[in-house]
Formats: sequence, structure tokens, C-alpha cells
Amino acid sequence: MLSSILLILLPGLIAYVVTPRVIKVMKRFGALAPDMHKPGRPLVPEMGGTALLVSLTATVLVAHLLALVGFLDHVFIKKLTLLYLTFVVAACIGLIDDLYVLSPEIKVISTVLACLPILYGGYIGLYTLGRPVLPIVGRLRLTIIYWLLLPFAIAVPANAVNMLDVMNGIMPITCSLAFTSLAISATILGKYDAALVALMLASLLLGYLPYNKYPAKVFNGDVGTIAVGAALGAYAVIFGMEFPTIVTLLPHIMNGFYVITSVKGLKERRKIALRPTVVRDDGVIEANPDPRAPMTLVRLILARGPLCERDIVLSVTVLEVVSCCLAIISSLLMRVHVAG
Amino acid sequence: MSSHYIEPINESSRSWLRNTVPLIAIIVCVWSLLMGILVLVNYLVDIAHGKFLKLLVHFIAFALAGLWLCLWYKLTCMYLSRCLRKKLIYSRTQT
Repeated sequence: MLSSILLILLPGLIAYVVTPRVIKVMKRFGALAPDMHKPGRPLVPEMGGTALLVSLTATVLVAHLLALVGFLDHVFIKKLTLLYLTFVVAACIGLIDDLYVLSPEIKVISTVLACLPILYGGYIGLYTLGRPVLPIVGRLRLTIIYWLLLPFAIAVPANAVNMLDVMNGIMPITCSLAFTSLAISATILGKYDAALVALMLASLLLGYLPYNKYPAKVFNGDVGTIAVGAALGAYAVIFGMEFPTIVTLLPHIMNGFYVITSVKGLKERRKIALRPTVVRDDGVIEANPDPRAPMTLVRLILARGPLCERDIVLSVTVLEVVSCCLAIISSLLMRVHVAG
Repeated sequence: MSSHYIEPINESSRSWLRNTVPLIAIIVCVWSLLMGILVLVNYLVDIAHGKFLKLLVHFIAFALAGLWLCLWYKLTCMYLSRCLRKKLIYSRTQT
């Protein structure tokens, strides 16, 4: 019990302490980017996601020490390590993208690499792959299709979280809410180890949030967004929480789906001529009325009228809360099948 | 300049909920539709006996999933184009 509380609190505390140091390092190396949604476009340090990587690494090391002295189950620690390895691979891809700007195709293909630790876990029989549970229908038996879809299980959430991270605080707020609702869903389904991991990741993001919330002192960078998205995907597969994870990520999936369909394929945002939103001189943001502009979630929020950045973040948060509630209802509908 | 800066933010603070409600409705519609499809597929799986009928149910399930995605996209496009059209008409009448 005490070791679980320690594992929940530790990532948040480390992230809270480490992030200011990462901000200093990024300032020293000149890793700064303009905040496009603020008047005067102030320069803000980038790649704050490295603080998440450092914090999770420290937490996983502590978890291994706890397992060595017998406070944690070995199956749990193996699952946690596989999730961590997925996080690390995705963070490395994000870091390369932050430093050298990868093409969207290469970015999506390289995120597929992050599913290798999960494949290994399935191969050694640490968990069963191909038996996802759906509400109402029950447990499916997808022996071949599941393995074919597995690369998308990491690539889709990683890129969806990355695509929605357009304003201050959206990633840590929405993803911490997603992990919290997944912890509730896991508890409903009787998966207490899954609930513990979800709370650890929620705590990690909440410790980081004070530095990324509006007005941001640091940007996440792809190193943060792709890694957290990949962690969501890995979590879903390792702990058999596929359906609740998809429902919690509805705003992210909606945004990614709209962007890809409206720009007709994967395109680097710098190569899209029309912006989905327009920032007025007074800092208020409005939807681009041009029908050729990409359709994004933020543009949809602004379709009825202009808003300031803080209100847009509030709107996205409310949408995420609704999705989280639907995910919890879905897990209640799944409970009977998991119990059976 | 300062009053010009503060005024729109106050105005937007009142309207963020108005902007969000239709999207909440879209999310709830999309989820409800998915649950409806799952109920239908579950019913079809229960009544289908034999290999051919089971294969047919799988085909229907995939077709329904595709239809669900199309409906989702169409619903959003309709909302966006209606809002932007209204906005354009409003801005033209203002000018």
C-alpha cells in the first residue's frame, strides 16, 4: 500500500522539481520557439517533455528497487518496464523531430518502432494479445487482425496527442484527465495494477502541468507529446484497456481524423499554406473562414465565435471531461464481460 | 489600446460554453451511435448460425463501422460549414 502511494506521488514530485531545471538548460542552449497565440509572440523554451522522460526514468528505477526488496510484484514491474521502454523509444523519435524536423510520413512510420517492446511482451506471454473486450459485444478473438493493427496502437495515439497539442497546457491537462479516467475504469474492471500505472502517469503530468499551463513557461515539444501519446497506446495494449482508451482519446482522434481528411493526407504543418485559425492583434483567436483551411478541433470550437487562448483550452478540457465520463460508462458496460 | 485588449476577452469568456456545447453533442452522438452499432452487431452475432451467416455478420459489422466514420465526418462538416456560412453572412451585413 505504502509502495503504491510512493509510486503515485513520486513522478509528480520529480517532474515538479526537474522541469525548472530543464527550462534553464533549454534557455542556455537557445532552444526557444515563439508562442504564436500571444500578442508580441514571446519566445518560450522548447522540449519540456525531456523533464517527463527524466521523471519517469527515476520513478521506474525506484519501482525496480521496490521490486528487488519484494514490495512489488514481478509481473507488474515487467509490464511497467515495457511501457517505459515504449515511452523512451517514442521520446527519442520526438527528440529527433524537435531537433531535425522529420517528414510526417517518417514520423508516423518511426512511431511504429515504439511498438516493439509491446510485441516482445506479447511474444513472451506476459499478457494476451488479440482478446480486446468491447462493451455489450464482449471479448473478441482477433488472432491475426490484432497483430496487424498493433503498430497503429502506438502510432495513432502518439500522433493524435501531438496534433492536438496546439495551445498552452492542452497535452498535460487532457492526458492527465485521460489517465485518471483510465485509472477509474481499471478499478471498475478489477485491474488494480493498471489503475496504479494510470495514476502514476497522471501524477507525472500533473507535476509538469504548472509549467506548461497558460501562460506557458515551457513547451512540451514532440519529445513530450509523442512519448505521452505512445504511453497511452502502450497502456491500452499491455493492460487490455483498448476500448476505454479509445473513448478517452475521442477529442484527439477527432482532431487527427479531421486534419488528415481535410488536408487529404499526412502533411507537415509548415507546408500547409492556410492556417485553421487567425490570431487578431488583441490576442483573440478566430476560425479561418476560408473553406479550404484545414478542419481542426480548435477551428470547430471557434466556428461559433472568437475566443481567447485560455477559453479554448477550457473548451478542450470540457470535451476531454465528457469523453472521460463516456469511457467510464463504457467500462461499466464492459464489466460484466470481464467478470465473465 | 488597453480597453480594446480587455473587451474581447470578457466577451469570449461568456461564450466559451456556447462554442463547446455543439461539440459535446457531437461527441455524445458519435459514442451513442457506436454503442447502437455494437448492440446491433451483438444481436446479429446471436442470431447468425453457420459459417456463411457469421461471415456475413462480420462484413456487416465492418460496413457499419465505415458508415459510422462517414456519419461522424459528415455531421462535423455540416456543423462547421453552417457556422462559417452564418459568420460570413454576418460579416458581409456588418460591412
